[in-house]
Amino acid sequence: MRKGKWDKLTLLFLMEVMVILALLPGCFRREELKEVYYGDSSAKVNGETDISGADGTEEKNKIYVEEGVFAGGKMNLSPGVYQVRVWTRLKEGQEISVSMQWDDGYFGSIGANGMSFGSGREYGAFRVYVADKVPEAYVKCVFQEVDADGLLCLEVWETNLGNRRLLITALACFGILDFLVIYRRRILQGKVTGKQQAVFWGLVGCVGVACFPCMTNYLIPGDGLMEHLDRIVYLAEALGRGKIFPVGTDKAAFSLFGGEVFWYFPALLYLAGFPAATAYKVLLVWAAAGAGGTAYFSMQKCVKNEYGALFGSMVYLLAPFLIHTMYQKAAIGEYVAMIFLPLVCCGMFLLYTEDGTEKGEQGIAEGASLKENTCYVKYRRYKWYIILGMAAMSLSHVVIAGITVLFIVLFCVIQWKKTVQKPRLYQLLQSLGITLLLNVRFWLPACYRISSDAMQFSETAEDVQRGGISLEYFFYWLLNSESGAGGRSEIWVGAGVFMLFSFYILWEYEKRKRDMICGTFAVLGLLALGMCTIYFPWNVLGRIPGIGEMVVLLQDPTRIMSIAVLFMAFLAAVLFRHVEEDGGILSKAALGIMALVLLASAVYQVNEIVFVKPPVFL
Amino acid sequence: MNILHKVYELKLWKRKLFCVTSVIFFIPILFCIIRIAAPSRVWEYVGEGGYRFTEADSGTDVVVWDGISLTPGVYRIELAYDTDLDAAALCNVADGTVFYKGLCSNGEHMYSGLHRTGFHIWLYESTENLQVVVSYGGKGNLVTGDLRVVETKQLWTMLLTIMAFGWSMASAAQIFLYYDKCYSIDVGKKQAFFWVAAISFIASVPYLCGYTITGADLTYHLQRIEGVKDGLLGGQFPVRLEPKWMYGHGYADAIFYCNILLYVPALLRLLGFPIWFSYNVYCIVINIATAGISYYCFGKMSGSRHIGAVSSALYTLSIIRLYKFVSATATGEGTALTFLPLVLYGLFRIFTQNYEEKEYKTAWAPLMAGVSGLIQSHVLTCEITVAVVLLFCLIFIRRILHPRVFFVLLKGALVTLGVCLWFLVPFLDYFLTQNVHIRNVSARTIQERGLYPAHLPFQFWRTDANPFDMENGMQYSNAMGVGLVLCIGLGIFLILWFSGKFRKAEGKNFSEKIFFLFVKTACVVGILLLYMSLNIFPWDRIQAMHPIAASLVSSLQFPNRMLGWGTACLVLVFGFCLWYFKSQRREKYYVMLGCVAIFGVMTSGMYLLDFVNGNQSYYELYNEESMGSGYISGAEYLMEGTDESQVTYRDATAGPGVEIREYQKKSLEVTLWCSNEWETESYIDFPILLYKGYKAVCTDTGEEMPVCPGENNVVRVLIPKGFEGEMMVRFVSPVYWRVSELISLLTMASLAVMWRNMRNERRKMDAKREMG
Repeated sequence: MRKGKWDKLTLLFLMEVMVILALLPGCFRREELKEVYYGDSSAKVNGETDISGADGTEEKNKIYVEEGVFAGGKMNLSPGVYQVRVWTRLKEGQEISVSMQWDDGYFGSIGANGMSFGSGREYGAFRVYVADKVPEAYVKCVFQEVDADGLLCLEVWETNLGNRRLLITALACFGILDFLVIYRRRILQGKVTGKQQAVFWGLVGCVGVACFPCMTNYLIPGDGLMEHLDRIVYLAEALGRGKIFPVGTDKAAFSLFGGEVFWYFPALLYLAGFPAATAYKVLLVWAAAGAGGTAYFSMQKCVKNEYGALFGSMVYLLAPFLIHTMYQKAAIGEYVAMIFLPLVCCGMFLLYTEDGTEKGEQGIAEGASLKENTCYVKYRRYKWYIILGMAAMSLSHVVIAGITVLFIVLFCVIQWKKTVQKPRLYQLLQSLGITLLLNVRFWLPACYRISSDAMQFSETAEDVQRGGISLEYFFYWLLNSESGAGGRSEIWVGAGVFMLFSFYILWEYEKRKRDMICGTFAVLGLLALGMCTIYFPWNVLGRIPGIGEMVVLLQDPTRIMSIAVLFMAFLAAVLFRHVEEDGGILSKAALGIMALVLLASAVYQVNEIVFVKPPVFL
Repeated sequence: MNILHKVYELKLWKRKLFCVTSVIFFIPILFCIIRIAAPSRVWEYVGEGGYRFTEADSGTDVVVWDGISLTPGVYRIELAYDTDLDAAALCNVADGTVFYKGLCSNGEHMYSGLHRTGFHIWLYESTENLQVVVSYGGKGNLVTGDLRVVETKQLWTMLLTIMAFGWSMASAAQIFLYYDKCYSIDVGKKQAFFWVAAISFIASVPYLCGYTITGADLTYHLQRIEGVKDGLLGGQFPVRLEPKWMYGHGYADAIFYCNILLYVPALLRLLGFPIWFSYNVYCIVINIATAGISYYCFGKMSGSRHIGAVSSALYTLSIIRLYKFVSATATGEGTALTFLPLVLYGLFRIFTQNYEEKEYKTAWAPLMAGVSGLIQSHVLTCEITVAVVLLFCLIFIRRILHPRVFFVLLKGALVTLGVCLWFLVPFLDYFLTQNVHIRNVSARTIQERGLYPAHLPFQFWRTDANPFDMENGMQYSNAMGVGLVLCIGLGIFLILWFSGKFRKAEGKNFSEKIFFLFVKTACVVGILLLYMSLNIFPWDRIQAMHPIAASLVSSLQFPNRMLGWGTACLVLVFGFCLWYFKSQRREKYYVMLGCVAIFGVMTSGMYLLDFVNGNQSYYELYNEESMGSGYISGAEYLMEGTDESQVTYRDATAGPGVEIREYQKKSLEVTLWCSNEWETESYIDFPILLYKGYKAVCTDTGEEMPVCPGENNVVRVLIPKGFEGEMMVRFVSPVYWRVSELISLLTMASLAVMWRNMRNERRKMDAKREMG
């Protein structure tokens, strides 16, 4: 409120609060039983509830199977989330499929996949998402090798999940709206520069391109899709049952390869009533936005050039390998780990390029100048990028974290003269210690389980080597998803990225610049690329005791490409700054063409993904 | 000095090059004229007993006549036959001695109701051994008989046309050359010509092959062209009922689906060109028109030729246009897209131009031209256009309330009505008074045919076979979207708008403010249309609201039709972004956005064209008979209750006691002699589908005989007891149709006169200004 008048923004906030308050009570309303059917009235559900006790006497609720099919009575469903709960008693070879059907209703008003029951599965429930009024919906059961007795009870409940979903959607929409309103106000007030705006919209655009396949109402079937959806649903159900946080993943050995911290977000969304597919998509978008954000932040810190950092982030975010990881591989754990890679890289870069000498340390002790003190304090902060990056990475994908550690070690070895300098070494050791302490909850049980349980890995070192790619994959630009063999066709660093890398090398050679840290990045980038290929002797390394186990744990050598892409993205940002500062029109045009090549490659890739891959409606 | 006078002053006839080229062209022209004047020849081949095919006798290309000697020409092959099954055999010609494509024909299917073929062949080399062959599927009985080969003049009329066109092109090139030398043509105009030519050429690449790319609607539109040709040959003008359609029963397609622009390919067909050629020429003409019109309109709106060229490329090579026009061969809708920029430009002039200016008096002209073009090419696009125009009017309601603006709008509407009255009157007459099938399709839902949001910015389109199957998602989906480039343009516009950049640029000038408002409206309308093309737009709900809404929504068929207007609006928005950067002196951004547009067109429109050209199936269609005449798409214009599967070639069916003699059917006109010796009134059912306008007259007395629906809605003439005499049944346009045609003719003539007067006036003003 300004000068007694209501500010527009305040009015907007008030309106939003009112809407949220109006939606809030619905979230706590009790579940309502819409329909109940029973096949065997004498049976007891879940060992406790007697079916016949409810309204089992009513004939209309009895299941009659005609020609192996039972169709329930017509229900009038209003928008919301319903749950169909089924209790069965089946023997070997018997099967019952339950689904929700409807005769009338607008397009897309019901979303439900149904469920199948076999022997050993006594209870199951599935959700029915109703987006619009459906006057004639009914439950359909198909019986195979069994009659009505196999289905003990079937209930249709109207839950409060629809209200919760609406509330969260409203909150998200209001959040975006408020952000835009405030952002616009700040722009109009001149508090956001043109450069900052360009960076913001540029990043939004890049994230938009990366998330293009999410602009449908289905999922793209990637290699690990079902595993991750399972993971989300499992966590959600565990939380729903009241299991204490952290849930832990006793269902599978997920926790050995990555903590479940980042999966709580989609799990909570699922718990709040969103379909698993939507929760997964939100995670994808969040991960892409996170990768773009950290890449920009890190590169801006290192390169100190907004457009350069944006360019580097674009290279990173739209690199074919990352998009491949997101969709075709559906390795969301790996992708989430890649969010934090730039932070580690940034920390290392800053630790090694900035001055953290004894002088600063002594300065504090001897009452040095304010500038020196500030430098020292700032320098001490850089380790936190490494700690944060490594800790988060360990909680998302332990293999990527392991690869990162390997490259950090290699970096330290190459830059050994700088590494052994006391303040730097001190910071590095501090990073290691704090990271280990932060993740103790994860790595200690993991180590215990690895040592105590007999793990069986399907891959051998030979398999790991065979999983590498051949040299020509570095140069592909527009690669058709249908071409290539063994599903490996999309794993490539991309011609755009490679051209940029080559340009960087040429530029540095031409300008006779000797930036040792960037040089090390270049060498390590090339090494990482080499390690992704079939030419790297993984099979030989696999025979070395101690290292062999690590090689097997790697599973797929192309995982190392994430490191290569990161280094190249960093170098692209550096190159951008150099060209902007010293480059002629030709260099700038070349850079522009490469950017266009990169963008076109990414657009083509995401286009191909949705064009070629069959949909998964969940 | 006007342009014609300037051309005259060039004295071309005194120039050696012109004389030489004229002689080169006129010698063959003269030869063609002589050949046309010569009498046509007929060859009769009479055999003994003919060739008899039996059920076990299936075979491909069984020679029934051979050793036929012919010189180059276009011939009609008339083979007598008798069969008891429809389309079980195909008659064609073969000749292994002529060069590749030296003999062109697709043959003709044989029907039980017909007893003689009548298909055309194009022979480009003399032959001594032409064979008439029959491919027989082994079902039913077939006996072939005598053969008659009739020479037509069509090869020579075709050659004459080609030569005349060649001479015109050569002359035009020379005029351009000499004119530029003498009077120096403005560089901008030359650039415009180059851009329009280049864009048209790229868009027309699929039509430069010796075949036609097939889409779902190709044969339907080819039938429409043939319908115009046959209608003209049958003496109709304008053509209202296609006489050969529905196995010679006549179909009222032209009443509901205006065919005025199809007179161009129909004329080429009359001159003897094969079907594929006529159709391809039509498509090339439409491409040129689209490129030219969009260049003109977007160029005028932005005030820059370069922006006009970029916008023209974006529009002409837009995904939805290429999909509709090339890939799906939705020729009518593709043609309608040509006129959208005119409508947009018309609205732009009416709403943004200063009404105090003298030029404002003609602001209605582009809107009139655009809407007239739309009405006369695709009525469904008009439905969307009306909605778009209403939205614009709603936003500019205050301006519309000004008398001058209102008057200009009214003038535009009235002139449009005048121009289109010849089509609208029969259309409304049939739509309101006849129970045609199109009036009974309101239950068809369309929401499930909507697009996913990912369709819209999709860039690298290929086309495949999944137009709207939701179970397949976007997998192998047909090319429907606006493309990434237009989405980038939209994004940039929204960012500029969002960040308040327009506030500074708009200034306080009213004309600039209203210009910005117009583009903002186009942006909002564009976004709305994109939304309406998606499957999340509640089409089903709207349909359920009211019967009229149901009818309108159902008639739309596909929500992707919204993308035509959506593309036009977004092209305007993109052009505006270019204009903005240019006017704000942000050359770097201007160049970058221009590069993005060029790159986008290359990777989107051209990529799709390449794919279509290389992968989509095609037809090499020469003669209409090979297509058959039974395909009527959704049978929208049949009378409700007509069973189209029962319609086939047949003769008139006499009712009890009726005798028919001397039956002759030419086009949709039947003459016969009949008598009714039955105790009461009887009837004759004619092989003509009944529509309003058919009349039966006793030619002896001139007395009109009652006509009513017969079996399966054919024309049934009631024959009074004891009637005996000659009778004629034919379609006669009602008087008020003729009046509407006259009004349209007068309106167009007035427009021409007005245009001429205005041009003269402007020229005089220019001359005065020069003198001053």
